[in-house]
Amino acid sequence: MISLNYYLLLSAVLFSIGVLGVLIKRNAIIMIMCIELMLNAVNLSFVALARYQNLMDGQIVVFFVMTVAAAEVAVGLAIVVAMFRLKQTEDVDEINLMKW
Amino acid sequence: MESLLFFVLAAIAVASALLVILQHKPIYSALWLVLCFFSLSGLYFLLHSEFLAIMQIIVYAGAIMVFILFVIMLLNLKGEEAKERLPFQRLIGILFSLLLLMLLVTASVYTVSMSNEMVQAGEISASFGGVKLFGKLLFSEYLLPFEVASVILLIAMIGAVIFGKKRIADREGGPE
Amino acid sequence: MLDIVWLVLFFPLLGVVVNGLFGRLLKKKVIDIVSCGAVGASFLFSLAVFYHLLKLPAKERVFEKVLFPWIVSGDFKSFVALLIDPLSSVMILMVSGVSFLIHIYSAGYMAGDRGYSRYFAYLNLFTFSMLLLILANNYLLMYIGWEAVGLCSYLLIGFWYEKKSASDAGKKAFIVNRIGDFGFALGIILIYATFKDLNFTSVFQEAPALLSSGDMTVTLITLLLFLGAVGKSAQIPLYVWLPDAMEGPTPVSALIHAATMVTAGVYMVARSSILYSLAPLSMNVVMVIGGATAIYAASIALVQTDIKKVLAYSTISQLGYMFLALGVGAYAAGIFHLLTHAFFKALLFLAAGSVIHSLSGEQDMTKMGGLKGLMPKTYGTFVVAALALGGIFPFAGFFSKDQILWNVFIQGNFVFWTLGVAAAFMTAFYIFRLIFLTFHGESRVEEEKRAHVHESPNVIVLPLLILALLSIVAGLVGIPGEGMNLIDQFLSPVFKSSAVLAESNAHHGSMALEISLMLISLSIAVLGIFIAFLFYVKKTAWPLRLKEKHSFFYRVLFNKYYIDEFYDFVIVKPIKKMSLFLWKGFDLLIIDGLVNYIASFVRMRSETYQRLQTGYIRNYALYVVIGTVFIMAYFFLK
Repeated sequence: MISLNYYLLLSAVLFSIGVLGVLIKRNAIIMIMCIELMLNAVNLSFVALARYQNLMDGQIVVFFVMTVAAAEVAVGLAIVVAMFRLKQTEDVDEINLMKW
Repeated sequence: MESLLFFVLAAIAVASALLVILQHKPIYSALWLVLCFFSLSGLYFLLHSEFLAIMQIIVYAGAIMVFILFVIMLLNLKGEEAKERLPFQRLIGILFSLLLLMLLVTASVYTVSMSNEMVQAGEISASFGGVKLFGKLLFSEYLLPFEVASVILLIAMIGAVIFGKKRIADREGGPE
Repeated sequence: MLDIVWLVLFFPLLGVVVNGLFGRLLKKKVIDIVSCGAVGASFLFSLAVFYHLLKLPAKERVFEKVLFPWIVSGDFKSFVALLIDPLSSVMILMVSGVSFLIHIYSAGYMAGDRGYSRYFAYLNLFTFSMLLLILANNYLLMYIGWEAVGLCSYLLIGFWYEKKSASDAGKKAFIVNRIGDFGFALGIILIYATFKDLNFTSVFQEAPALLSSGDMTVTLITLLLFLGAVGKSAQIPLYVWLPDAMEGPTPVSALIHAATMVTAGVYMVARSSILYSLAPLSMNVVMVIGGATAIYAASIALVQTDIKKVLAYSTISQLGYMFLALGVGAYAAGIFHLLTHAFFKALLFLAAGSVIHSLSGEQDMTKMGGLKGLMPKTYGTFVVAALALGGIFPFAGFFSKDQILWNVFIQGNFVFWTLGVAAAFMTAFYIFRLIFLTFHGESRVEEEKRAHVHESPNVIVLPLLILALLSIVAGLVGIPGEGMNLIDQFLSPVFKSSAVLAESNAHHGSMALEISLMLISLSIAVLGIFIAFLFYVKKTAWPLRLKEKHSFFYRVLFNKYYIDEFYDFVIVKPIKKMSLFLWKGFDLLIIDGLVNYIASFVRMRSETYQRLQTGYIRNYALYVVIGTVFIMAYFFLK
């Protein structure tokens, strides 16, 4: 049968893809999507561990992660919209005033 | 049967995730992400978490992705320009995410295999993953986090509204 | 009963506190009462101590009173404790008595001065310090008093600090003293290293047992201590500060630079007599320097024109006599001369102050003359003091100076006896030269000052009269001969052990020899007075002719053998050059440069690291990931 390792491995792969996306992409919205990808990878590992330990607590945590993810996307996109209004671009490299 | 399903769904998930970051246009990335979420939902079904699987579809694929698509259409994004200002960022970024991947793989494959019991699928109750059991746990032990989560949502709403408002100076036909 | 000795110290200290803290607010009369009263009380208690000491049998006249522990650090314990014995009791009598008279005198002399309360605070502080020095029962406490009198000397010499020459003189005194104090401190350290104790009684008891005569350690100790005495008591080569110290008010010169502070060196050597008896080499050094200084300073005094400078060199010369006595082991004779000298030298200074005061500040003798009739009391006391200084029978100086010369002679030092007699001739000459120039002949006083010339008020004249009386009778306690030499008897228990050690040199001459030597020195002194009379009263053209014929010698003597210029060239200028170099070259360039370099180095580095803050979000995200990877890797590798 499928051992836990496979699920965790999958989760790891999805997470790294998300990280890669955050680091490489310049579009702000794609960055947010990659963050969602990372969160989902983590959700997957929580659910897998819950199943294999026969505990519902993991699933509760996933529930809350989803809630927070939703809130975060809302605010994040609001920021993106505000940023677009200011600079007329969605390129995060344009936002570079916080430096020495 | 189960393993076949798992591998198919896993392959779809990884592939669509990769495609998310490989696309130039954000709309295509969003669509591939939706597919990824769906496959994850399927995986949740496999793991006897029916409630969460449905939640995944409703919240992520249904609400969040729709939201993102709305914003993409609102901003009328054209896609990435060619000019790259940070030459080393890509290189070092790929390097370190590969390192991260290796570390995580080591963690998941080698460390968890220590304790054999946990790794194999054990017996679970019939109502595992069901709404009833979920609700029971949510409203007893995790009641406080539940309430706090609602506060978070409230705050997010307020924040989004504030960010979205046009400034007084921007508004045409202002006070004067 | 002798417990009350601490009161001798207490009152002057109280005077310092009151005058120092509140002096500005008090009226003149109150300041006078407080300060003179303080020293007066000190004198009374000294008398009481002396009286009680006399009541004790001769062999038991030693009393120590511990006031409180001062430093207790491991094995090292030092106490504030006082020692009463014949030596310290006569010294405190003299110091408090003369100080009292000078306080009274100052009330008249310094009236109207802007720093009136400051003056008396300093004067009280000085009295306290000197008494502390004398009464201390260990070297460390004595050193405190020693330094304190040096400080007061600086403060009082530079009393009129707005005058550059005065503040320079104060600095010179302090710095030259420092050289001596350095030797003194080293000597004290060496004493502690050798005896593990600094208390007089213990050190002096252990010394004969621990060290043999001529031992290297004790010779070194005594030479170092003597270096301190050379500085404080103005002997060759550290005397140069004393003539300059005449910048201070005249009562200060009388008290500090005639009667008390400069005698601290003599007192210290006398107190350490046992150590000196164990080091014949050091005693020779003391004798040679004392004798050389005596005649050297007297020669300079022969041609000086400033009245106070003559007296200053005279003091240096007489101190040389005292050290001459100590050097041949005649400790009692040295102390005897110290006491008589205090009286007549203080009188000389105070009387000179009276003259200066009435001449509105004139100190140049070539601008004086003819004051005999106008200031009779001052003139009278001046003559008494001069006769005492010159060593004329039966005034005080005769007996004390004679004791010294006698002791030098019978120890076989004929060369130094001759030097001493020659110096006595010069002494008589220069002091009467001073009198004739100042009081006799035609008045050479400047026109504006002539009108003010008057006899000084009683508050000034009274101390003069008292000191004159003392200059006459003080000698009687030292009449030579068995049973008659009271002072010698009184002091001998203190120096007995030293005398025992120096036994090999003990000679006893006959009475006849002593009397013939007395007559020789007396006639030499009278000859000196006569020649002065000849030069300055009868044949006043002679000094000028002599000056022209031997102008080279005259110039050398007048310019004090050019010693100050010599010191300036050899010592002061090189030190100044070196300091300048160390400042500009070393401190500014190297040390500042180093510090500045470190600062700029840090800044360069930080400028490099500043570049990490690029402002790009993606870079910051990358930093987060890098950090995470490293942390995880660390935990995995553990």
